[in-house]
Amino acid sequence: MHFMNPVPVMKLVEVIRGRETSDDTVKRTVAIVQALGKTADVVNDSPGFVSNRVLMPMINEAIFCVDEGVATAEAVDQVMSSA
Amino acid sequence: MNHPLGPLALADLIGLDVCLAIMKVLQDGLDAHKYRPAPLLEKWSPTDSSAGNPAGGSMSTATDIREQVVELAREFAKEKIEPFAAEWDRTSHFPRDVVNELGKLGFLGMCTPEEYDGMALDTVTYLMVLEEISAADAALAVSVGIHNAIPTTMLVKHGTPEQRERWLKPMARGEILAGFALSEPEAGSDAASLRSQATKDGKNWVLTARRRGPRTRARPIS
Repeated sequence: MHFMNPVPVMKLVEVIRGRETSDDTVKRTVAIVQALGKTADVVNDSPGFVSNRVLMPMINEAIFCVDEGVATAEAVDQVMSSA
Repeated sequence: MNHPLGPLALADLIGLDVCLAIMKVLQDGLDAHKYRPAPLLEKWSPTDSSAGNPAGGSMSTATDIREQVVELAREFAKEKIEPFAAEWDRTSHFPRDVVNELGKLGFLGMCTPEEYDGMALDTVTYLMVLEEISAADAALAVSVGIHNAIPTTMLVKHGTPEQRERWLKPMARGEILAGFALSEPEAGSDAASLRSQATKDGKNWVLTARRRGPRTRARPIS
């Protein structure tokens, strides 16, 4: 189970299916996530899973933006957040 | 992601060093240049020259010593922890006698330098031991992990010689179980946002803090 930061706010939990993970284990893990009041998404094992593979390059690119003077850190955050 | 935070605020929350480490995992694991960390991310990330061991001790542990230590932890966890863990959970019991035994075996001084009666293990061995204890009782493993990592590391890295002499040896031998008074109402478990302050008032230190109950309470265990 891979929880997202900040954990109390984020509903999503990635459930990672490894090469040897049985369907029963996946089913029970998803049930645990749901019992916690969160939403489960099942993904296969790979570096960074899905969340970090997509999120980290975005953070990385945001840092490039600040470094290259495209925008201030505050502006980058405001453009990209839902707040 | 419909995330409440922008990417940079989120990076701060996650920790820039963690972001950098994940980028390196992506770059190595997927073998792709597009995942190269931004130079500014490398510059911003706190670097630690003593990264081999959380307390700044040895850089690596010999394979045979690692196997022996992990095997000892596995056997101890199987015999003395696992059969009782569910009952401890049910009755909210903290097994200080078991912690005491772990201390006698050296497991409360895993990262402590040898001169302070510690085992000076490397991070990998230390984590493998924690994995064995976690498999038997995750809650107990947290107490052991906090003691070994946070208070021990702080004393090794930032303590005065007198503080190290006074605290590290009894901590490494398990005579004292150390905790980390972390939680504040506004900061939760985010240590970087803590607002507690210690100021010197003449001879005394005045501690200004608001707290929730810390997760581990320090108490003598011998």
